[in-house]
Amino acid sequence: MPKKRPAGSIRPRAFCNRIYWRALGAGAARTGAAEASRIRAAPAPEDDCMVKAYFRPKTAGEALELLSNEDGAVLLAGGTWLLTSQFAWCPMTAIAITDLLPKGIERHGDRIIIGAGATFQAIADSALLPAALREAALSMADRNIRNRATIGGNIGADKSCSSLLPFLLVAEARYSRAQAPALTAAEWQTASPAEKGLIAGIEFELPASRRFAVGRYSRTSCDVAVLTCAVSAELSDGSGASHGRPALRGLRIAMGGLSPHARRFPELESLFEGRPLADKAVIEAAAAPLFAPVDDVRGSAAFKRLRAAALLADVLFSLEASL
Amino acid sequence: MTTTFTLNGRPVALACEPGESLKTLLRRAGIVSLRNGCDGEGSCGLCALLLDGKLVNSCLILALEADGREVVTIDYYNKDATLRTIQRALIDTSCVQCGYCTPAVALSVRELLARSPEPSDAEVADALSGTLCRCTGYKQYFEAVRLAARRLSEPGYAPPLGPEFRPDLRHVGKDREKVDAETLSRGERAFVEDRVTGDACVLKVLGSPYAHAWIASIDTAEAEAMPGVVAVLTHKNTPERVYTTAGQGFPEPSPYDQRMFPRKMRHVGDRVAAVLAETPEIAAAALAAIKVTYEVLPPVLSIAQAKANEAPVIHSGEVSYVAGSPPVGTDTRGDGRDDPVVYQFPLHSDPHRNLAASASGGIGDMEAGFAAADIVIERSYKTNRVQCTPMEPHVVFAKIEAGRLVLHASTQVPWHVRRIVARAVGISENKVRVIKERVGGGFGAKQDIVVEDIAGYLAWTTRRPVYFRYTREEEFIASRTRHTMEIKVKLGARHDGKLTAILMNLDADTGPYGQHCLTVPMNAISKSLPLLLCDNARFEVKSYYTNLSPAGAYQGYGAPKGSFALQTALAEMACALGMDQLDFLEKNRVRSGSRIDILKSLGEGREGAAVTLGKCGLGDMMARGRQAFGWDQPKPPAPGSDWKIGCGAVIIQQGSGLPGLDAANAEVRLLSDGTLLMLSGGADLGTGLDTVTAKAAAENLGLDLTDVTVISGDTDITPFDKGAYASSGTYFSGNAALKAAEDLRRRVFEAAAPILGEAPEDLHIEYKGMVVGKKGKISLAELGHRSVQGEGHGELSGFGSFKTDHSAFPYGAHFVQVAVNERTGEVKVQRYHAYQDCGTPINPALATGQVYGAILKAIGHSLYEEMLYDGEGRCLNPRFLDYKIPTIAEVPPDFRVELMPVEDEIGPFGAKSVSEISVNGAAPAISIAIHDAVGAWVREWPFSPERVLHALGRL
Repeated sequence: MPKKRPAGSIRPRAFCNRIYWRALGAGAARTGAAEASRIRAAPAPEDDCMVKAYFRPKTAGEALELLSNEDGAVLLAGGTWLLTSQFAWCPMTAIAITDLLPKGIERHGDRIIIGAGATFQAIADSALLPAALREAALSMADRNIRNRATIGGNIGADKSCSSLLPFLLVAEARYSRAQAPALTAAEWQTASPAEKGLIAGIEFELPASRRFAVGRYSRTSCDVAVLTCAVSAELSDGSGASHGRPALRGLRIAMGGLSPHARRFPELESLFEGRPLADKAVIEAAAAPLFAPVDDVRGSAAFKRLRAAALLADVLFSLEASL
Repeated sequence: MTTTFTLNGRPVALACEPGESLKTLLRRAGIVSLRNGCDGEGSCGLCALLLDGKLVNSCLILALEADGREVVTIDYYNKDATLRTIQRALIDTSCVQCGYCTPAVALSVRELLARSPEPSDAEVADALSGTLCRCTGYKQYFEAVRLAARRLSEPGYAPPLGPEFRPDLRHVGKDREKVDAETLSRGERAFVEDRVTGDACVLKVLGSPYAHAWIASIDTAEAEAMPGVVAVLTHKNTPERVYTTAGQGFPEPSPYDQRMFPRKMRHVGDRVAAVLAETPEIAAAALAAIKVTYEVLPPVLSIAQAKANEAPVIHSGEVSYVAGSPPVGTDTRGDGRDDPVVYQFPLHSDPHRNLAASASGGIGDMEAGFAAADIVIERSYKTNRVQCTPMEPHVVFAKIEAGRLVLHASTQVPWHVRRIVARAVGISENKVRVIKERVGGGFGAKQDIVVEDIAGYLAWTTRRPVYFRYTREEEFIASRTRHTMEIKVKLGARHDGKLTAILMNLDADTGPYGQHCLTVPMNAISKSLPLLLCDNARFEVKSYYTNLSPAGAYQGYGAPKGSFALQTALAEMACALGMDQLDFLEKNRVRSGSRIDILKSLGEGREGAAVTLGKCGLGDMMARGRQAFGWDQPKPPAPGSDWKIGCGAVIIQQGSGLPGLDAANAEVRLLSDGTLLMLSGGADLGTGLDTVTAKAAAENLGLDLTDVTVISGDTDITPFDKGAYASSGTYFSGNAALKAAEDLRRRVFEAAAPILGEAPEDLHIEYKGMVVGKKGKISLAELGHRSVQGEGHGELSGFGSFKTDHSAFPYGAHFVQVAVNERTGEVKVQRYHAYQDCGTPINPALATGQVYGAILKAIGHSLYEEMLYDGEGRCLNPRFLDYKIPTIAEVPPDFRVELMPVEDEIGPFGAKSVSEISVNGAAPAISIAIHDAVGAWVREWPFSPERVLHALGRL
């Protein structure tokens, strides 16, 4: 029998590959027993051996209780990551929450609320959402996956190549959680697995004064992202402009592919805050030394450093054009 | 537990396990149209279905998640007129090749048209973004969707006919429904996995974790004792005889250097042991219980390492030569431990120095040739390992019937399978039957006997049915890849552009075993050098063993590599001369009537022969491409200040089968109602060969295609055929079918003559199925009926056998325009035009689709496909998540194929081969275009952004 793994940790099969695996942040706290119908049976057929038990709780509370009590418990929404063969050798107890998660997308003035169960395709299709977020959703180019993958699941996976996290980070989104206070995206990332809980919704402000831009590099359209970038800044009031170029104020930069998780880069923000953009070459020369990517099958560290700097420069220029 | 949902309009309640995917559940329930190309990775889309109207991958949905939902698969077509319309559109636009992805494609289009009745091309691409197809190049799907959309609003709509050829013929040169398209579009049982019986045992292989190691000890006792384990195989209890797994004619030009289970592991994934068990779970558990200790050896991971003095020796057993002889000074004695190597064919090898094969040859005087040159350049090129990735991995179902071994195989070479499996098992060939099922992609990988030997052996020895299917990972590391090659090209030319000397030195990495170790590298020369007229030309080829993944045949064989090196070098010479690249090619290419002397040195294992070229359309294709592509026009503006535009062009060729080596046979029978049964030895891989043979019969006997049923690739029922490789299908198998049809027609006339009271020579056939003389006529139906009656003349059957010494070369000219980003190294293929000669295209749209498919595969290996290894010889990206093949999004915005027929005097109806050649052009054309754009030569494929930046000096 496979060894019991630490709560909340999922390790994909290791044969022959250096695969990026991430602790599933969505829960490891253990409390009492659950009442939801419990399904256990003999080992599943060949391709499908990872889920050993399945629950479909009727309430969020029930889901959280199961998450706490069951060995190898994971919250299962779209399943486009957890159910892939990367995890074929890792026994899990699936707590299916698709029915529980809000899926709607709402806009109330400047406030955007997205249900954690909203799919990537729903986000891409929603006219209520900013173009940058829709573009980020569409950057997951495989429509079959977009039809199923959820924003909540993408947050929960917390992968470096996440399509949506960079945007959410620069939007300073807040995650409402079941039976727990909301956390900002950054707070949620740094929370322990036991503290992460069940995300119910994602909220952020979209004031008219703020602009966003996103970018991505991958080898082919349907490849996981090698690098992602999202930037945001305040609409220019003209102060600090130079040679017709606006100064960037309230600048926020988040990138993925350069660290174990997508993150904000305050060190980059301080480089460009309050100033007009220089030429792309200057931006790249300034940014590249701040990146520390790793070699992998998608590129060498040296290439990724150069490419990340170019991506950042391109996205900053896109942002500038909208200011 | 039970999951309850609506399946194709009916409520169902199905028992399932918690971890069972919807895909697995539905396949268990008989929905075989959900295919598996990625083992649950969610990358291939072949298991897609509609869940509450949304297209999703069923491998990523638990069966229990479907509870309360609506599920639709392709099997719903009976009740869904839209689905039927889509299926018909796919068939009518020749989008159905191997058919493995067709159900998924149809459902993708179904979802699309439900939300966008008149979709744009961008919407079509988005709808199909999740479906991998390796055959078609996706291009024709756009047309299929437009047709389906139109027919949904105008049910009787008939699109304009595509280009047609040979107006004197009824079916040949016209688009007709591929004979298996209907079956495949419905997702019906057609593939090996659909033939597996409920009592089949599952075979799993324990692969070596080391690239190079002895098995020091192996203990299978615990595994053997497990309930449900039928047999465990290792080197201890399997035959010691060595053989080759290369699907080539005997004596194979590949060494016999493989044992069913070797004691020495020569690559990661090499066979350590195999378990046959009653369920996959038991087999997996038994594998895990096998205890193995290894004596690890230093691996050889490159050609340079293989060549080095004191390199680890990969094959250290005794070497013997049935044909050929050892190099002078070589020690053929073995180390007493390793398995022997036997040469049935002169390969000029030295396995104790890791040299698997070598050859050299040439014409003229190289010294004089280079001395006469005004400019001499010398360049080195490298091509890295890529994998065929057929969507259906290697698979076989083996069983015993009436005391014989029967193999349901996904193979290109049924008769080679029979011979090699019989040898491996130690039985005579009459005890073996091979049935080629529909093949979900071959592309050369299924030319070899990769899984059939152990499956056959286990079925024979245990008398239990055996099902063996490779995982995608095994497909990468333990089937067949392209050979890595390092090619030096030295060219001499005068200022006027005339070549004076060509030298090609080629080193190839054949991997751990020598299948195709001579023929692939030789093909790199034989399909590139003969494009040029040069009095002084020489080549030297060496093929080395390494401990990387086994190399073998992949579409194009060696030609893509040779073409890349030579065509790029020619472009570099044109640059050095200050000449336009096309003008330089024009000055040096072969033309009609050219005598190609270099072919004298390019016979494999025997003297070759110079050929005087018949009709050659190369000049027309270059001229047409030059004009239509706008070669001499100013380049369009770049899509931004970081981008530069460049263009490149190449000329390419292939062969049409192996003259003097291969043979094909066919038989066609007249049935008692006047229809025909065509028994073709040919192996249709989705390429449409069965349709070619059906057309040969229908054309000759004045019938419709629906009057001809083709049975093919069954070693019991159909006559011998060498198999589908070396671009031989249409030329050899098609010609055999044509001869069989002609033979039947002759016999029909002989039988009809006395009935009509006329001389046979006064009879002819008229549509439909009527034998007509000067005085009367009789239908084939009447004749067929009479022939089998008591007073009849016996069943009328025609037999055809085809072999030839004639070389039929298809040619092509490919043009490409790229945009290169100087900051990021990204390369975008904006335009790709292919002007392709295949003689008479027998199925024009299908031929066109194959050209698209081949080109897109080549774009893949040109830009991003590459198998990567760590320092221990382990493949780092043996799955679709990490090894990227083109999707529909990678189709160039301007992607065109134009067939320019140049009839061959021997080819059936004037046809030559069409699809393999098309994989030869992209790499050199793109590398030339990159240089044209940014002034840097990238001489190693793939031309990843990283390599482009290196070439630009930015990394």
